[in-house]
Amino acid sequence: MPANQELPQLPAVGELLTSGLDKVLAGRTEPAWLTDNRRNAWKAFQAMEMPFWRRTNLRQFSFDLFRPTFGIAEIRFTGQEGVIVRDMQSALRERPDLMDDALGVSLDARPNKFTALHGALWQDGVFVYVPKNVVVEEPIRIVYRLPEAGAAIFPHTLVVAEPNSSVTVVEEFVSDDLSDPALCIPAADIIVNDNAEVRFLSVQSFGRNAFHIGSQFVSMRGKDSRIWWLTAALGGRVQHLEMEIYLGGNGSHADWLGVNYANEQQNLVYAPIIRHVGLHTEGSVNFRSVVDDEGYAVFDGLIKIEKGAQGTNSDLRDNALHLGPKARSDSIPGLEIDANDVKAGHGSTSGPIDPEQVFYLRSRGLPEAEALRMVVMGFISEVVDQIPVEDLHDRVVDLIAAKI
Amino acid sequence: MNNDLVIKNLHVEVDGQEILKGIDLTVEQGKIHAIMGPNGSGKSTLAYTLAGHPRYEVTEGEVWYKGQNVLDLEPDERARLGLFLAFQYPVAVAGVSVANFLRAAINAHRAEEGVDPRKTAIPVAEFRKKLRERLQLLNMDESFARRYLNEGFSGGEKKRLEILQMAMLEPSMAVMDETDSGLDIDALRIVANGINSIKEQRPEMGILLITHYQRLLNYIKPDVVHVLMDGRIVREGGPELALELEEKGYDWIREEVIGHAS
Ligand SMILES: Nc1ncnc2c1ncn2[C@@H]1O[C@H](COP(=O)(O)OP(=O)(O)OP(=O)(O)O)[C@@H](O)[C@H]1O
Ligand SMILES: [Mg+2]
Repeated sequence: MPANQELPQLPAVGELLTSGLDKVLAGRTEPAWLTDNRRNAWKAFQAMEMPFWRRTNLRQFSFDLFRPTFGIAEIRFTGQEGVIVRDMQSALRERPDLMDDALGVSLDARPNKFTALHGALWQDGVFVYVPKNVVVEEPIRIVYRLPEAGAAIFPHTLVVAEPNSSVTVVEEFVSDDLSDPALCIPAADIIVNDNAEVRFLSVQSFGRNAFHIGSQFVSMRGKDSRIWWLTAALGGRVQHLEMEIYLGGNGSHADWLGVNYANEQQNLVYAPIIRHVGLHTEGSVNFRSVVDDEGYAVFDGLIKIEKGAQGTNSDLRDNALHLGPKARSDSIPGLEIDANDVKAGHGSTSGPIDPEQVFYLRSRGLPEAEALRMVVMGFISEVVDQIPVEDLHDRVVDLIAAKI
Repeated sequence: MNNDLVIKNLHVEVDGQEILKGIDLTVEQGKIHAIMGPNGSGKSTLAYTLAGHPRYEVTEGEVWYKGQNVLDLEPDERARLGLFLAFQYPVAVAGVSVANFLRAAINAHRAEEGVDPRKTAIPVAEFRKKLRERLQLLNMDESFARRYLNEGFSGGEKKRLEILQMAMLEPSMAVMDETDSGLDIDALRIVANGINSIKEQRPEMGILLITHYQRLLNYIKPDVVHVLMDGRIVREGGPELALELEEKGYDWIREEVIGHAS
C-alpha cells in the first residue's frame, strides 16, 4: 500500500463526540451484535476518564484531534487449504460464526478509554483461522501502517487455532517519522484450543511521534495448548500495552519474550500478566529492556496464580541495561499466588554496561562504538535471536543497531 | 623497522597507589621473554597497562612499539598495531558468539580508513576455514565457535579461547598472562604446542609470557627470564633462572635485593 494513497477517514474524534456515532454506523453492514458492541463501547468511551497510568506519559495527549483512518492493513500469505486469512470486513461478512465468541476478548480484559474507543470504531484487521489438525508452515505476515500525522488507526488481529493445529502470525506496526502525533490503538485476540500451538510475533517499530496504546489477549483455553509470543517495542513516542496470557487449559504452556528499547524521549511500557488457571500450566516470561538518552522503559509484569491452579510452574523476569545517565527503566515484577502446590519465581536486574566487557572487546581491535554495539546486541540476543523469520530477525537487528 | 616492544621507566598507579615503580624491559621481536614474580608483584598490572585498561594510570615512563608511543593509543588501536593480551581472567560476554566476535575482530584489523568495510572484510568461506583449522590446532570442538564468549566456560576452556583468539588475530607481539593456570596437564601440552606452532608459522612474533611455573617453560623455551618483585624488575637471566626460582622460591632474591627475607 503506497503511503500517499487517499485513505477513508472519519472526522476527528472531538467532532464525532458532538455529531454522534450513528452516522458512522449507518454506513456499515455488519452483524447486529457487533453494532451493539460498538454502541456500548462508544458510551463507555464517553463516560470514562483518561486512565491514570503512573509510568505512561499522556500529559500532552488528547483524543480530540485524531482522525480515525482506515484501510491500513496489509496481508502477506500465499494461502493454504482450509486456512482462513482475511481482512476483518470480509471475514465478518463471510464467517461471523467463527468469530463471535472470540472477537474482542482483549477489549474486555482490562477495559479503559482506549480499548473502548477501539471497540467503537475499529474496522481494519486480520482474521486468521486454522482448522483442526492443520499445520501452517508459512508465517502469516501482517503489516499495520500509521499513514500520517493526525491519524488514528485501530488494527485488530484475531487468531483462532483449532485443536492440534499450528501457526505463526507476525504483526508489524510501522510508520515514517511523523511531524505531529498519530495514534494506534491495537487489539489482538488469540484463541488456542486443545493441543494447538501458536507463535505470535508483534513488532512495533513506528517512527517518531506515534502513540501505541492498546491491549492484547491470548486465551489458552485448550488443554496442552502452547503459545510462543515475542514482542518488540522499538519505535514511537509512547507505548502502553496491556497484555495477558490466560492459561486456562490444563497443561497449557506459555513462552513469552520481549525486547523494549527506549531512547531519545521514548516512553515504552509493557504491562504483561500471565494468569494461571488450569492444572499444571507452565509460563516463562523473559523481557529485556535497553534505555538510552532520555528514554524510559517500563516492565510492569505480573504472575497471577488463581485458586485451584495446582502444579503451576512460572517464572517472570526483566533485565534492563542503561546506556545513558539520564535514561530510566522501571521493572516491577509482581507475584500473586492463591494456590499452594506451585513453583513461581520472579526477578529483575538493571545496571549500566559492564566496562570490563567493552575493554575486553576493544583489546581485540574493535573500536569502542562497535564494542558497545556488540555488548548491547549480546544483551538482547537471547530474545532477538529467537525470531524464526529471517527477514524480520534481520530487520529487528538493523533497527536496534541503528538505535545504539 | 625495529619491532621490539620497549618499556622505559614505567610507573603505574591503581586507585592512587603505585604498583609499578619504574619498569625497564625490552621484548625483542621474535624472542620469547618470561616474567615471573610473586603474587601481587604487578605482573597483571603490567599486562593491563600495555593493553590500555583505563583503570591503570601511567604516571611516568614510555612504551614504544613499531615507532609509536603505545601509551597515546586507544586499546583497540594497540590491538590493531599488533599487540595482543591473553587475559589472566577472561571476561564473559553473553549473547556474543565466539565466531561472530572473531569475525568482527578480524574485520576491524583489516579495515582501512576511507574504504568500504565490505571491501576489506574477510570472505566468509576463508574465515570459516581459518577458524576450523585453528580450532583443530587447539583441540577444540567446533561447537565452541557457536558458544557465547566465555559464558559458562570452564577455567581451562577460557584459557584455550584466549589462545584461539591469538591464533585467529595473528598479533606480532603477544602478552600472555598466566595462560597456563587452570589448565590440566593434557590441556597445558595442547595449548603450549598450539602456541609453539603459531610461533613457528610467525617467527617474527614476540612473546611476553607471564607465569608462575616452570612447567610451561618446559614446553615454551624462553630466551630471557625476568623477575618482577614489588613493581620492579629485580633480576634477569636465561632459562636457568626459572629453574632456580622453581627450586628455591623468591626469598633469596628478596634477600639479595632488599637485604632481608619477608
Ligand atoms: N583494580 C585494583 N584495585 C586495587 N588494587 C589493585 C587493582 N589491581 C591491582 N591491584 C593491586 O596491585 C598489586 C599488583 O596486582 P597484580 O594483579 O598486577 O599482581 P600479579 O603480579 O599479577 O599477581 P598474581 O600472581 O596473583 O596474578 C596487588 O597488590 C593488587 O592488589
Ligand atoms: Mg596476575
